[in-house]
Amino acid sequence: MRNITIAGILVASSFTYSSLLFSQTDTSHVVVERITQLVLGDSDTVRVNRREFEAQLDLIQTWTRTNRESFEYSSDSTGGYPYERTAILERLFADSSSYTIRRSELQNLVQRYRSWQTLVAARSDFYDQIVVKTVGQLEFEQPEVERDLKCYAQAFHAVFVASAIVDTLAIWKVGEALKINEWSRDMRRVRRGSVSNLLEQLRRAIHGLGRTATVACAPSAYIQRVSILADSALSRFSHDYVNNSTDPYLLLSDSVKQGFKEVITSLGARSQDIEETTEKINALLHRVSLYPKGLTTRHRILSLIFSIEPSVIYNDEWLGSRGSLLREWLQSADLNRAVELDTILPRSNGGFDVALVVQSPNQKVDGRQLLAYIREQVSERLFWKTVNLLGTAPDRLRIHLWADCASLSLYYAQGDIQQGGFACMSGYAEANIDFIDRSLLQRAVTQPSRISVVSNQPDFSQLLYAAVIEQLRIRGVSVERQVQRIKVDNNQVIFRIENLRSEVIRNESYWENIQFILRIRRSPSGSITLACITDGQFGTGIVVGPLNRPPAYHDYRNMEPRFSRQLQSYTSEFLQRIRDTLRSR
Amino acid sequence: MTQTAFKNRLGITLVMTHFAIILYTLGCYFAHGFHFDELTTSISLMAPLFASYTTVIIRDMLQETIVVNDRPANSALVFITFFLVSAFGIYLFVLVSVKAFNLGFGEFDQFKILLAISETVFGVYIGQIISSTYKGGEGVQPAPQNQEDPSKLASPSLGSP
Repeated sequence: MRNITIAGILVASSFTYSSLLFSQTDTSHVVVERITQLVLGDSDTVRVNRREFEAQLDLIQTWTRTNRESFEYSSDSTGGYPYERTAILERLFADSSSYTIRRSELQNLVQRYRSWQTLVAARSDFYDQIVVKTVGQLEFEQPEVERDLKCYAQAFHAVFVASAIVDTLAIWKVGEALKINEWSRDMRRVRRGSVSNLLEQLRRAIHGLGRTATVACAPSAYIQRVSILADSALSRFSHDYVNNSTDPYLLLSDSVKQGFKEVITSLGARSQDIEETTEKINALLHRVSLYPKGLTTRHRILSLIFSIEPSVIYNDEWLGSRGSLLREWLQSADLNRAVELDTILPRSNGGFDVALVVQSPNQKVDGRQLLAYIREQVSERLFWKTVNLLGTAPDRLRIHLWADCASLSLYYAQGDIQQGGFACMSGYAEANIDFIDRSLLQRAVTQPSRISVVSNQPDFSQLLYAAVIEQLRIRGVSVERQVQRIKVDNNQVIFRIENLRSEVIRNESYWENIQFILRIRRSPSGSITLACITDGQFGTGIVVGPLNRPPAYHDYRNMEPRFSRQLQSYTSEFLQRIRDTLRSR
Repeated sequence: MTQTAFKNRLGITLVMTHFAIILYTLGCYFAHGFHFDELTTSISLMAPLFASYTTVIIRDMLQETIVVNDRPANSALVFITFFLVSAFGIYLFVLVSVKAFNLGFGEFDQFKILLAISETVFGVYIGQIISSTYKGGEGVQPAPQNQEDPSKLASPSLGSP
């Protein structure tokens, strides 16, 4: 718990530093050039007087404030800003009222001045939002820690206060559950605030560095990337402000300089801990998610801190493999390879936003026609396939298709229609037209892989799940170890069976995982229609005596399209068996 | 063990070991321990080293050589050579088994990388042994063109002057 909290603090501080320092690079050269142009014009040197130059410094501050998008900067709350301003003015003018300045010298000054402002603003933001409010909840057991905390805060708030908190936490014993919960809530709030404020800036920074544009909000990927950025930012920070700066207010003494270097070293080392800890958490939560009853209070708190839903796996590699499978399916679907996966963006609630781009195969077919075709032919299959691949609840998935200026959104609209289920929303340009596509539902009911059962049972979904379990037991499946119940509600039963042998692909001995979505639709007459959608994966592995280990999670492959026929046949048989079981009851 | 015997036994052991490993990998594929693309990748990693050894060994064996002064082989060299070859064979066998029985690798790429590294590292060791043993080593000399057959010297044909 303590390590996780420390990691959270460091990540929050990393957010602030990395994003601010990188955000400076986006526009700094523009500002520097404009200031230089204003002061020097076309000449290389100019003689400036002190009062005019002070006005230019104010101008720099104004521009900096304008260019910062999600950040309130106030010079009143930043005690360091006048020091740098005074230092620059004293260095240039000393006792005289004018100074001949060169272009390169001016550019350097402006650049450093902007960097200083950014840094001071970062310190102020960090101190005001995080340190003051969270430290107040801790009980210091050693008074010197508190003294050091104040001392550090005066010297250099952001980094040293982070260090002091780390030191404090090192001696802070885990208290009552109430304190933990308060701490967790604060951490979540800080984290949410950091993410919402700085995510866009971070995206730009990463894009500017040539990194992948798919910045997942998932904690694992996010923290890893942020720690990389934080390392980079701290390196720059160390170089610029410790080795090169001559500002007397920054480097108060040799001990402060030494302390700062130690903090940097410490932060660098701890950033690795963050990655390792996050990996452990994700692995733990994944394991726990397989056995929900084993979820302890500690696990719940961990998941709360990182806003992780235990039933969702946040892992970059996992997401990439799911994306590959979806791409494969899109290529195998009857779409003339017109649809391509663009991004899969995890949402904080455990859901996903999936963006697909529809490219016209020729000039004669425009985007609206393509989207209309997709909506009619494959939208439902596409939606449920994506639900299966991402392992998320249907109501947490949104698929956005883009074609030229037309768009189509697919989502699960529970409660919007009587039957409950699948819905489409289409739009064109900015004039969205919302409607519920009932024809899809109508057609879905009439498809052959669906069966009708007349039932007056009010809790049919539970009955259905019990029938499924009974069938699986008959088939020799160990329900406790192999069956994972994902969701059972009035409209659907979702579960997953793992580590099967030769169940779907019967003439081959592969390991198999199958995920079932049983959708329940009730008609006004009382009949219930079941629709079964299955998604299967298979993996290799020889079984001889006690050597019967299934392959690792990443080593499974999608059954489709190679074994589509077997999967369809198995699904039909499964539905028949379920119907027989239900009728016998 | 003489040097000639050592050379022959080493050659046979190397070829048989590698051939057995490739056959074992094929067997694992038929028992669904590998996908087809995994099989081809594995064999393509094993085959080059196997082919290079086999080529050198068979070429050497095909040469008509007469061994004179076949001295005993260095016992330490014999031990370390057979130890390395055996260890390599066992190692490959274990590696393929671990993957085929899902005992240790998270994904095929891990197996592939480890196999490639192993082939490279062991290839250096065994390559040294092969090159020194099968490339004009001491005690192995080509048959002289003008030397008479020793058997004729021992039992001259009847009727000769």
